[in-house]
Amino acid sequence: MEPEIKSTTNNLSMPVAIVIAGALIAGAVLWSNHAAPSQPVATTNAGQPQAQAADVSKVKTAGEPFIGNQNAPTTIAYWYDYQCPFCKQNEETAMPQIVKDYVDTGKVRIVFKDFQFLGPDSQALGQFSRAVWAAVPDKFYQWHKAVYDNAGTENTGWATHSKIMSITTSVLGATVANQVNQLVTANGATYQKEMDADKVEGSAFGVTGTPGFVIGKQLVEGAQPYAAIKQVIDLTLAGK
Amino acid sequence: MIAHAFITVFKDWKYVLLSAVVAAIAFALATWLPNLQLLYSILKDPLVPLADKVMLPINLLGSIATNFTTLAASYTIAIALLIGINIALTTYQVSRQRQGFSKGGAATSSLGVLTGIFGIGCAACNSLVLMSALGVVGGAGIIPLLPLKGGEFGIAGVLLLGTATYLLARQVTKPLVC
Repeated sequence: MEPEIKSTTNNLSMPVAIVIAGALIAGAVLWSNHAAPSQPVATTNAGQPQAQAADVSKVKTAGEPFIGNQNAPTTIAYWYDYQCPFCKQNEETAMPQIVKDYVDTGKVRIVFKDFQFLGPDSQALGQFSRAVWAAVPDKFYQWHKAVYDNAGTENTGWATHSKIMSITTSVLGATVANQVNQLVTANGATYQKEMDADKVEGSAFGVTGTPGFVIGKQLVEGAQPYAAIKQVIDLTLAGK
Repeated sequence: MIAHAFITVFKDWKYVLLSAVVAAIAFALATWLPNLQLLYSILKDPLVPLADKVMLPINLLGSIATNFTTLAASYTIAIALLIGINIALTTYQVSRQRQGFSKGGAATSSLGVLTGIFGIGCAACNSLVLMSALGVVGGAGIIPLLPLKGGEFGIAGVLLLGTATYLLARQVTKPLVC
């Protein structure tokens, strides 16, 4: 019986073709990720955000919650969602060290920008955060951390009004909590517009998910180890 | 059988090295994917010290612990390892010029690699590669509806690569026939 000999060329053609197709698809995926946001972005009435290079000097900071010295040499713009487990991770790991090493020493100011996109609970918490900033700005970060400390599972409806009020009362006291609640009732629609504008702005800088940071002229995406964030901050402080 | 195939292939240190290098590249890309622009910017900047250019990619590898769910980290590592093993097994097969080279195995392996790439999600909030790919075909809206928010693709990638490993291992252990 004649041996069935298949040429090496024939044997290689299919796997080579598959690898080439895979490379093309992977390239298309990376290209499409680079060219456009990977998820629907809220837009203002003005339409789609104008894409721009990451540059914290171009981030709108007026009226936004922040911690640190107003005149710190470097600013970090931090986009987050109150239901994002990786924002919670960031708050528990990298953020305390950033605050200790850079915010408390006057080197960095952190501006908090809403990227509330995971669901209605995120929106409700975002509106409350704006009201807290308006009522007691020096307690904003304490309240912000308390939300993450008490966060439930994403989109399970855990952030009921009574739950949010409970968190707010535990941090700010009943009297201030009621003031905050009144601010949300009176200004909720305005706060929502500001939150949406923050999200559009983040998308324009290339933020596609949370947490997202613009540090100097660098965009850092995701909950990264403190060592990586520290490196970017140090390079920014050094003017690089 | 699989053990025999592994011994046959990986007793040669070159295949161990190939497998390790490919797995390391796949793992590194998975952790660097959200910040490729940052890496490019730092690496090309002549004012950034060399030490920083070396350390930043290393520091970003740590995101496997901070920016992945336990499930996502598990299948990301599994996919990276399996890609390395598959490439080594495939290379062994090709270099041996075996008759009846399994197109099924190669196809399954490639499909596993592609599915694995799709499944490498770096955050519950943002399965970056997956969302990008589905965004191209208008399917990004499906992600929130999936129970594991895209993690299904990572699991599918592991299963496909595991199947491909099995198929390739079978080929390795098939005796040569005249």
